Amino acid sequence: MPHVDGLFRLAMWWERDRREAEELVQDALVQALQSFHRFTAGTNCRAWLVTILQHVRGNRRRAAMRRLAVEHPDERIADNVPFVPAVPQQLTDEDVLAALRGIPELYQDIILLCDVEGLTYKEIADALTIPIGTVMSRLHRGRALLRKQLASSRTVQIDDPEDLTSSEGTR
Amino acid sequence: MECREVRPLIEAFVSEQLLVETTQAIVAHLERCRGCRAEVDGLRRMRAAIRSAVETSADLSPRAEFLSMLTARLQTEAARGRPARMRRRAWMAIAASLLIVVASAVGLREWSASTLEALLHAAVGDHRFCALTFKLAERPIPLAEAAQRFGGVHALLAAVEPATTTLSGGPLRVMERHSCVFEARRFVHIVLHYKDEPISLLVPTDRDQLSSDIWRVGPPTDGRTASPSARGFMSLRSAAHGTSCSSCRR
Repeated sequence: MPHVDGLFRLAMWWERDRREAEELVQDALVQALQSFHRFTAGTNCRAWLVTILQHVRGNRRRAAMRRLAVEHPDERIADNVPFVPAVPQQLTDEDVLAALRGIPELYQDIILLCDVEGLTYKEIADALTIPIGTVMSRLHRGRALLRKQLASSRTVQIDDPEDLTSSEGTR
Repeated sequence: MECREVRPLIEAFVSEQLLVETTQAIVAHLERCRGCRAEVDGLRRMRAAIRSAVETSADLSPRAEFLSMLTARLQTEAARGRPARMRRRAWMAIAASLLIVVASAVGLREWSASTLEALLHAAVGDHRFCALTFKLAERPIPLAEAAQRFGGVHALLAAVEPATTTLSGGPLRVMERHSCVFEARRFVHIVLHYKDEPISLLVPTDRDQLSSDIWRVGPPTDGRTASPSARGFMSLRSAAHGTSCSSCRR
């Protein structure tokens, strides 16, 4: 089934527990099946399913009295990223996954939806029910934090001195 | 564009979120600016690494047992307790498999009822909008290209110009035609637009003789003038829908 692998990856990333992730995906797809008449033809089916997955996840969290804060304190921390290092030339899967886990969750979500699932900014905004400007700023901050994580996990090999100046431009 | 204008847009550029004009302006800038090019390359490298790491991680992949269980659960859910509105719209899903039904009548009798049922359910949830979203693992092939590569049914359908016709429920037009692989079988996938809703038709390509049988189906029941393509589609829809839809039989 198309989309299921991607949905499961997201759920597994969020829950970090295979049983929880399987329940989440199953609940989301059953709900999608029951509300398929609400799907708008011509729109991105994957984005629609991700939105449902996110809603089901939110409901489950609320049921567990673990409501997510709208404004996360991590956002303030990320405002103060003083220097964005260059992206290392060589990246291993282990480095990348560890670095991604090392940044605050709200940035992980945005990066996963954009860079892995290929959703547009608008689709991400709809899925997470946040303004599109917040998507863009979180993506920017998240990537900056991720670059710091990647740089700290290994020695950055700079082949070109201009890499340093180029990285400063992203602040 | 200058560096100070390009830098704030680089992330959106890499994420392919910019307008064509802006994208072209940035591409032109990158051709002459080594620093910005290095920044773009770094971001692209990071995006590719993230995607690869997540998609190939065994820890993040679903178990085969779970996928089997999930498929069975969704089929059960689809078969029972559908909301009335969904049931009403289910005829589209039935239409999606109508050519399969016709196909079984003209030579694909080896397809069991359970196989057709499984295809039907899968078409409801997964395949119906593949023409609109192109999110299949294997990208669909334009019909004209498929006609050259595979011939047979592809060539026959590609030779028929899609035309819009007006039926009792309003205009019927062909939105999309392509060749795609579904459940390890290749189909011609035709997406019609009728009554503000898309209708998917999956045409099996296994047997060449099937093509001539499709076009021998009679004219539509409402007697309106229709193009050859629309006449074929609507006749098939009527015939297969009537025999497949329990709601209509009642």
